[in-house]
Amino acid sequence: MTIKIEDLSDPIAEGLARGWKVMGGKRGPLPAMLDCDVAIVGTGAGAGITAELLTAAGLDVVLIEEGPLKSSRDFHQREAEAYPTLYQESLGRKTADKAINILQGRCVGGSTTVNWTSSFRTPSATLAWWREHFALPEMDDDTLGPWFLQAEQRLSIVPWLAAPNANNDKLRLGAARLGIPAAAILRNVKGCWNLGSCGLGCPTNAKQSMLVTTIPTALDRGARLLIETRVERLQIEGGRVTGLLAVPVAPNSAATGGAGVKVRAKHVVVAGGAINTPALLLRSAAPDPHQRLGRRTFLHPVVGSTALFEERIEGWHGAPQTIYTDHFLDTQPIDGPVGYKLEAPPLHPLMSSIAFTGIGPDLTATLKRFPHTQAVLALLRDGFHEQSQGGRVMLRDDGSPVLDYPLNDYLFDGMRRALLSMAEIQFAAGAQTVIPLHEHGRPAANWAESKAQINALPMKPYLLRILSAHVMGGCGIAGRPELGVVRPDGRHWQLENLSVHDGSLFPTSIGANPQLSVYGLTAMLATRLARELSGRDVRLGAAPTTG
Amino acid sequence: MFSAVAIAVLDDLVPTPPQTRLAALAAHCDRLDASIAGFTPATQAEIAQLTALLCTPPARLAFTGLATDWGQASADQVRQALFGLRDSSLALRQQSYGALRELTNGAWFADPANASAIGYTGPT
Repeated sequence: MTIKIEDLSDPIAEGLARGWKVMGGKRGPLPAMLDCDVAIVGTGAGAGITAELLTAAGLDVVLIEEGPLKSSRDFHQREAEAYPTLYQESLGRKTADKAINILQGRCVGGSTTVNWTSSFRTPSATLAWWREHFALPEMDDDTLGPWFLQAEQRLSIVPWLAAPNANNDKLRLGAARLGIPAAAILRNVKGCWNLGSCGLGCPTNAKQSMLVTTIPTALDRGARLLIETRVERLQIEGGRVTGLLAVPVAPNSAATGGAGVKVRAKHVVVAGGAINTPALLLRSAAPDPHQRLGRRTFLHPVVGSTALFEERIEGWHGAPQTIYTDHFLDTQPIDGPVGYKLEAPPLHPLMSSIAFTGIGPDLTATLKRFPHTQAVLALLRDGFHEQSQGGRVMLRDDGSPVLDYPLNDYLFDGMRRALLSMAEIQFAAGAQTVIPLHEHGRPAANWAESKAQINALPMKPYLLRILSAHVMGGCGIAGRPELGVVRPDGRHWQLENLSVHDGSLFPTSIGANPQLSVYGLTAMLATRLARELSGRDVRLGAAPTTG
Repeated sequence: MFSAVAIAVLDDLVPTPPQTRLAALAAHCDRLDASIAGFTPATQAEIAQLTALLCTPPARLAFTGLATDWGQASADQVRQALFGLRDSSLALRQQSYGALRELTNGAWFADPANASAIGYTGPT
């Protein structure tokens, strides 16, 4: 018997039928006032973990999400549906100079609803850097290990045993032929159908995103969820946060003009993701005596390389990122020339047509061979060098955030090396031609030609296609107030009852896809916060404790 | 303007028989409107400014170097204007190239039929 997607259960529809308290959007108007123990801004990786743990301690939680509540029945694997509903700024978020496209989720579950499931613990070298430079002695493998393990068990983060799709297998093969170690990526999936549509919302609920794990658990425990509602300001009085003000928003994030809600809370956790979290603190005029707020925001800037193979690759089929190599991170000092991680992304036509370069016959020649196209991307590890201070979150006149992320020769040097590494691997894997994703990139027929071309390309913004799917920092965690925005326990240095629980905590980039870093770190912070606020010990995936 | 840009960017992916072409471009412009409606107010304002600039003949000439109206220009002429934006040293011109290209490709491939035409067989 064949199971069809239409026959699968929808945990969101079932939860709503059970009586989940969800307001906003089509779920009805917002109340004028709400009281709770803890208000959580956002529903992504840090917010979901925090919500499960705080509700396990019996705390009364209200979650506020700017995006919509969508579920597997809404996920039709169509890019034109997914991007406007599930992504920040309809997939159009960019840095201030528009040189970098930023992919971030904006829906219940946040980026975990649309990410590509890649799961890595925070690398030891990154933690060592934090200990040394940000006065965070606790940030080591031994201390964080149990928190990562808890998140891995809760979210079914396990080795992916299926064969890589052709797109990933070319990365594996090319690396192997060059003697470059490559390995399989752990994924947070349970019963994955290997469809390849992770970025469009998982239609089978296999991806263990916050949407189908921690958020339903919190809602079953009585948490309230406000959707299509944006927090405009935190209310700060006498060195404490007393609550927040939020307004209903339209699908494009414009305020509808409808009546807002005032949420009074004993404690507020901000977890709207890097960019939105620092922006909320900026809008709220949160104290920032050391000028750290919004600074040191990192992106893992990504450059890419496409290759044509004789055989069909069909990069849209199968789990999206299953093979990686850290060779170009591990073979050089973390504070030396910028290193990069290589992975093989999914290829769907709409996003690919934007990521590919050129116009007219140059572009269409590539697009016409789309099924034969293979792609590798390089994520640069930013934030470990004096020439890599990251970007700064600022506010537009209308209060919306924008990230100013200057590019410089330090990063361009890494981008050129990354384009060379990717092309060499693709040719080693048997590519007929390789095109660096650069407006002046042309198909090269062999490695020597490609190398000469890439070495001659001007490394400049706008000409290079640069993306980011990992926004980190802006509310850095640090052991001294002059080094960051929040304390080692996640609480704001100047506002005792305000915590930050998301990727904006990171003092540098991670050097790996960051979702598990967010899960592990926020599991530790939220477990401790739950104990402080309730006196109870809690654990992810465990039944609630009683007082 | 957006129809002329689509022909320049997407070349022969846009069908050539006149009636079919007209219908395809009309549908393309509808999808473009829908995608712009999904952007934030800040982005919508920027797109409106760019569109106004490009559709005012003296500004179009000064900004892109394109002497004829978009609808009268050949695909090659439009491409040359776009390349001029791309290879300019002025950020605003480079950003405009990126915006036109991204809006065009995004709206074109929002139609599943156009995705199928380049061999995409999904969704699975």
